[in-house]
Amino acid sequence: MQRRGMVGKLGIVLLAAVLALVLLLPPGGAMAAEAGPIKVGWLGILSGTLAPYGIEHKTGVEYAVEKINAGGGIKGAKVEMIYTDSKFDINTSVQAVRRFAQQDKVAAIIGGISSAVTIATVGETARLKVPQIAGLAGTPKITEMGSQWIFRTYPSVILTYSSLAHYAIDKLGHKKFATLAYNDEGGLSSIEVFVKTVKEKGKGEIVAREVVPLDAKEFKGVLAKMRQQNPDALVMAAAAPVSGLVARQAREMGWNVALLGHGGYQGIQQYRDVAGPAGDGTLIVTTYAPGLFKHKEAQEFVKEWQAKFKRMPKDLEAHGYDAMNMLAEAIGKVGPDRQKIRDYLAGLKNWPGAAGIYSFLPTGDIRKSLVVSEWKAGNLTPVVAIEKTD
Amino acid sequence: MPASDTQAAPPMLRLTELQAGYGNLKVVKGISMEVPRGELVAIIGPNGAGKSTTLNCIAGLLSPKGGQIDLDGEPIAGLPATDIAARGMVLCPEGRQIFASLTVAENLKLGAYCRWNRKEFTHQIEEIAALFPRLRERLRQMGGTLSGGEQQMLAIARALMSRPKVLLLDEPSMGLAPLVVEAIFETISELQRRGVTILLVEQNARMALSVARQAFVLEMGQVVLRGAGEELLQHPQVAESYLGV
Amino acid sequence: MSQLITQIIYGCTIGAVYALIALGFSMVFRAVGLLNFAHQEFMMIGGLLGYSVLTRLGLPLPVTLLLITAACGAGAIVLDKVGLWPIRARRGPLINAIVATIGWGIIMSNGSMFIWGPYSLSYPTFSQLKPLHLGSIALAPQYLFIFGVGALVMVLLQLLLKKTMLGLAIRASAEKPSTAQLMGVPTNYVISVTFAISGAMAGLAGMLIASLYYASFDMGILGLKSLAAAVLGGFGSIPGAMLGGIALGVIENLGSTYISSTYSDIIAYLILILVLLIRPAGLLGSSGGSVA
Ligand SMILES: Nc1ncnc2c1ncn2[C@@H]1O[C@H](COP(=O)(O)OP(=O)(O)O)[C@@H](O)[C@H]1O
Ligand SMILES: [Mg+2]
Repeated sequence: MQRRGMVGKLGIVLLAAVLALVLLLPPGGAMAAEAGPIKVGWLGILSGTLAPYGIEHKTGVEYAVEKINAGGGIKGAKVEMIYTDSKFDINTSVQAVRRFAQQDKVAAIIGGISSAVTIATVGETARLKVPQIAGLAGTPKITEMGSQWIFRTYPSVILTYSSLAHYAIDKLGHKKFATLAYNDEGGLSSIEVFVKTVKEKGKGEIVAREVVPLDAKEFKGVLAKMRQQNPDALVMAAAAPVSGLVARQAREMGWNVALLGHGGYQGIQQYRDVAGPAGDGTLIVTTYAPGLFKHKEAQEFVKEWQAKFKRMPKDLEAHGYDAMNMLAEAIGKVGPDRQKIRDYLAGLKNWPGAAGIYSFLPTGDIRKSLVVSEWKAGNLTPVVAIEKTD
Repeated sequence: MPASDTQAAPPMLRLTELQAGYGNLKVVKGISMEVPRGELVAIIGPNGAGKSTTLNCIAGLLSPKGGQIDLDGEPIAGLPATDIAARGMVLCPEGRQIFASLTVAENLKLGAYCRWNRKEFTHQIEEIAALFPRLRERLRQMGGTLSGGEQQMLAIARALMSRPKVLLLDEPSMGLAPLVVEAIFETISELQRRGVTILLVEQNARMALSVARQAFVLEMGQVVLRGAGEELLQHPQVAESYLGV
Repeated sequence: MSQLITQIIYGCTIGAVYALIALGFSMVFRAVGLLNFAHQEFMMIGGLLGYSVLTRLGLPLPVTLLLITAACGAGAIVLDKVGLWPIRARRGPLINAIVATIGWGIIMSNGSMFIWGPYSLSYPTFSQLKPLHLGSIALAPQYLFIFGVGALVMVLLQLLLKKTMLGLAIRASAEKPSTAQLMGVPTNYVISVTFAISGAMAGLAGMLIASLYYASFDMGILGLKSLAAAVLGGFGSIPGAMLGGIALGVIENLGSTYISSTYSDIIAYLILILVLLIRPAGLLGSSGGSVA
């Protein structure tokens, strides 16, 4: 009893000492941060089957940081990146966000690759009040969760499928559309956006709307039913191999309807592999194609990238590069203050980057340049840039 | 036939101190007997005495736990049932075990599995039809649709298809009407006259003893009495326990 | 009207593939009383191996079909001898053997993902064929080819089972194994043959379906539907497996064409359950657990 009482008292004294230290520290800590490097956390998938996406984005970010630091950093302060593998795991990702914010005291976080994992981090960055620029998350959700602290540079299906609708009606002159969606969140929300955009424009009409189960492989019946409505174009929102089957079976039936889709689905090589020659002619809204955007920043980026890497930049490399530069500009203007960085990003309009011209909406969602591509003789070929979207 | 010949040749089937059982349960506790070539030997005994266990052991469905089994002078204890069938000894199991989903003809065909020969098969079917005229009309019928007596005839006919040296019969009279039982036993005697060696297990002691040259009484897994069939029929102990006198 | 006929033909084609797989579920169940949940993975292996042989070795399609069929048959024997028979021989509980098949199935599909990756691999052969026109009906020729191969194999299987000594031994061993042994039938060998036939038909089905769509490590799910087809036809019944497979294929296809593609699975399974409520043993099954 006696001993425990002693330990208890000692404990309280120690606790008080620690508290006093902690209370004394912040001013000193802030001073140290101003003098030292500016830390930025990067979070994404670096292992497993989705690793290629994470690596591609990281390569773009790394290149931007390298250029910033070579040019003397941000107002003399070097940028120090902390790269973390999310392992496509929600718990790992949330832990990483906490460590970034509380231990590493980062100015901002770039990343969150894949919708499921990114959704889980949005609540955490909002709670800890750290600005986050998501890497690759196709779902519209992350910027619809009410967080002030989330931004995206890579467009969601909302922008892709609404742009697809505008392009198909205004530029291709299609009037009657059939849609085919995968029965999952991505497929359904994509088609939802397309249908809504067509209705708002008041110029086209949806004549058939089909949803297919995830394991479906036989579409001839569904296609025959759609064909009776005589649509000008078939809009697909389903994983690459499944869309490939749809395209192949449509042509096998001798149906030459125009096929439309989006980069994350039909822009993938698997689509063309499964569809075979039937995939040629499919028009796709994609997010980037090197050399297609005419503004200075985009042109210079391609030139410099080619000089360094001896190859063309890829989609996520350009978007990662832009995310980092956007952040660097913000820090350069307002300093490494999380609230001020957030406010600066929220006000960005017509910001010219490597992968297009960006404007943030109040939700943190993006409007940016896109590209229309077409499968031609087995190659995905950029056709035209959509310089500005709305 | 000269006596010296039969002396020199081994008995067709010989059991020496045979033991068998299931798990830790001992059912057959060391039985010895001989079945001479071309003869009909019977085993009688009450339900649960271990008669079927003995036959299953001889036929290879069950591995013996001790003792020897010799077929025509060669040890066969522990060989799998398929090998024993190939050596010319066939068991007609208790309850007939007709393949219900096969036709009568297919059941017979399967009986000839060990020595399948299409030409001989047609010939054999004729022989079978002579022995069991009722099977002839039912060749295309499913085995499961036959009456009990017909099934027993089919079971014996099926066993004969491989032209066995030794026929093991487990309770052929079970569940059959008296008239049918008589017909079956008539056939069994006929087979013996044609030279097939037969080991017959029966609960119908009167019928069994009347056709058997030699007989054994099995109780609790042990041979308690042995003798000529006629002799045992007269034996007071047998008369009391098995003949319902 | 011509559309209805076309859709029925397509349904029959998928159904023939379902039937090939369903037959294996039924045959193994009859032979050893086991629900083999690794069975559909032989279809997956067939599809992926077929892809590799066609693209890497460049062998012609008929040769490849034979080769893959044989390889999957051999694979199924190995699965039984190494992974299932020891449990049977030591009289392990049936549920343990069933769980073992589930385990093997998972190992096979994950192992295939390591080998072939998580991709959808499409066959080079068929894509360029032009549709056939029969009157007002336009048919993709590969559907006819697949239906033809499926039907041919089923006819051959039926001949094997009904007309040969081996077939007789298979049927007899399935009904009363120890009595079959008494007749000299080597039942262990017969069981191996049964696994081989099942695996071979599944592998063939895998190649056929992959030539129509594509092969991927997770395509076994499609094969599991065949279990439903086998039940619909009457589990354990061989003609039932054929009928059930084709019925399921047609129902699915007509359901997605004329009612709703979203609910084609729901429709198919509702019909399955409805049939079972009216005929608990399935369309051609005999009641009371006996086999026909
Ligand atoms: N498969 C088996 N497992 C365990 N015990 C058995 C088995 N078959 C028979 N028995 C037991 O062995 C004893 C002898 O049975 P059996 O040989 O069939 O007798 P019989 O044929 O003389 O009527 C009985 O007590 C029976 O319960
Ligand atoms: Mg008995």
